[in-house]
Amino acid sequence: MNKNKYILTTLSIILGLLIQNVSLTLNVSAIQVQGWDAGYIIADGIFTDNRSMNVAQIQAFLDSKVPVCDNWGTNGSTPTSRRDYVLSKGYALPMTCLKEYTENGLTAAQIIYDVSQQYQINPQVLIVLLQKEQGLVTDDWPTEQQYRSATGYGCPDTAPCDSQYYGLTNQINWSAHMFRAILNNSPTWWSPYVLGNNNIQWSPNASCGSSVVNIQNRSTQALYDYTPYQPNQSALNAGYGTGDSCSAYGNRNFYLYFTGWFGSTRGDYCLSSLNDTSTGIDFKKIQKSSPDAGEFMIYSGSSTSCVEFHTWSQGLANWQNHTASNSSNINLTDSSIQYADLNGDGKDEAILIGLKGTASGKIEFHIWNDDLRSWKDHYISNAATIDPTVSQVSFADLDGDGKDEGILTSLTSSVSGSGNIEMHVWNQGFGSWKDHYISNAATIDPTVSQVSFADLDGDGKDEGILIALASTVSGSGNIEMHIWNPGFGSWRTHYITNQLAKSVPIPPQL
Amino acid sequence: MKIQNKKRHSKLRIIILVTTIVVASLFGLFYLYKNNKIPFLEQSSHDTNNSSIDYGPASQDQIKSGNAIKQDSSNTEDKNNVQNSSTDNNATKNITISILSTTQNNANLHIATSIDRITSDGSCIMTMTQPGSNTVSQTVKVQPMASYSTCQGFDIAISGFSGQWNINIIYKNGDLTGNISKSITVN
Repeated sequence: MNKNKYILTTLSIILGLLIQNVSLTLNVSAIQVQGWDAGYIIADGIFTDNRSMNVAQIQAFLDSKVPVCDNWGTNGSTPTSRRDYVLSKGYALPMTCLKEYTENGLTAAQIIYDVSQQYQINPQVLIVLLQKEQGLVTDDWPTEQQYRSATGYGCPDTAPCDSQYYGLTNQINWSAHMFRAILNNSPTWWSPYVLGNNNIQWSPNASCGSSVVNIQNRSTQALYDYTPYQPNQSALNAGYGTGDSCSAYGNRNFYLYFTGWFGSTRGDYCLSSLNDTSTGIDFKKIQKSSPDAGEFMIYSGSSTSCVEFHTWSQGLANWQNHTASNSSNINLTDSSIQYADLNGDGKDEAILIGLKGTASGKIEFHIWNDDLRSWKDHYISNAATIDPTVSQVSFADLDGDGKDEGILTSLTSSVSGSGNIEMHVWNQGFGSWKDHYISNAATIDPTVSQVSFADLDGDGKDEGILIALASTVSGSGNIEMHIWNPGFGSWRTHYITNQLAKSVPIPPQL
Repeated sequence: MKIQNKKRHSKLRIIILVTTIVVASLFGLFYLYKNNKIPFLEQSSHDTNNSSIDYGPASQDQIKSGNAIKQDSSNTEDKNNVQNSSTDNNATKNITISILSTTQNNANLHIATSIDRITSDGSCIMTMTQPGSNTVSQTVKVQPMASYSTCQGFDIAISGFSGQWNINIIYKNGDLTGNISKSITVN
């Protein structure tokens, strides 16, 4: 008997420990909010991606979150508890879950989709809004009150909701309308928060304090205009749970539900699918006196719909960071991205160059801040847009002052009619010309040769280099480099490399 | 007695056998779950390596959080409705107005406010004073937002304004009124 008892007790303990272990492991995975950035809750490209889901996908998503709807309120703690609660509030039965809800003959999925198209807001944003304000997406017994104030629009903290905003369609419509107004920086919709630094409170209780948040894009600005508080550390530590008396959860829950259901709000992890993308690789100086960092860029076709920068750590074997920028996909026939140190601080800035089809009709330069998620400067140059197959824009420090100059190089046909390659060097700000050079070299076919700039002799000044790639000048059959003297009027050196010319595909200009 | 012992032994064997099967099954299920090998029981946490939509059932955390949101919303509405019905309509009503943010960007001071009502009625009067110095005053309209209203301002040019300033903002709409003051340092 004692032996049997011992065996049973041991088995019970093992079973108990096992169950506890499983349960602990599952709980741990839900703790803490990962990747929260108070100044950059969601990328503009994702917030406004109105093509992310069609009506059928929205419907399938809503179906998946509530497999069985408790229409008659019989699945509570007792068979009548939910029903009694609903009736005590004066609401009618049966209850209708979001997946089967209709208004004016339209399903909730259709309403979400229609509004998303009207205001060009990602339907996923609207779905998450319905969840974060009323829990409607996961609720299997929603009440009329939840639909009436579905997105919390018109509901202040200490006063009754305003009835003019009641109704599912009305609610979603007003929310998307407000988001769009903020995104467009509408002059008729004043925004309490601004791009840049803002003091944002931890909760409606001002005595809980605030911190400075650098709001980096319009979508984040719109979310704070909607829910004007940020989660404190206690709220972030709690995951989906409850923090302390100074915790606010609106924007945390938006972030958690969005990332939980639809993936990264910033698209930082999208290298798994690179099909049909336009990509390039370049090197930039991140810090003075440090090696240049290799950067893999996705110009178009990224899952975020944004230009993405993926920076390698030294050794090029691992990623250092991933950034989805604030700029939407670009067409490489119209634009290019380059790095240059324009201000002489020893660090390269990333520059988006509008070469063709710009709104101003001129070549434009848009300089990113270091974070690649906001703009530092925008310049409209004095030069008309170009055909990138005829001319190119480059950067080089020709005068050795530590700052790179912008250079417009005429490759296939000269501006002055000289018949030679010409270099036109901008002053700082790109509004006027500093120098014009007519080189000693005849115009070239860019599919055969190219012009580049680099400091080959280490004197602090970049030299111009005519690179014969696919057809050589000397007849050597190898790639040749012809280095100009300053002023481009004569040659300093000629190099015949060890690389066969024919085997080299000409890379696209970065 | 012998027969009873046999019965006890066979019972024990059955218990041990069943327990062993249960334990082994749990280990197996746990292994499959952790390795994402159960197609009908996907882990609810979204795989950040792709941006596909999670069509699996909501996790317990998500459901629990949704229930808390629902409860909180219901409680707030109940509380606000009770407070509203018990307020004496003839008395002057106090409205809560807050300064959400005072931000200096370049040469401007941006003041963000929240009024705890949804309304476009009334106006906001802002007075900014520095002891023994100038007084700056602005009056702006009110704009409804999603869960509050805001004074449609204020952006104040602060060139030459350095030092300590007192800001007072009054919201007034008939007999509804709210008032907030704050001291700030302009750099």
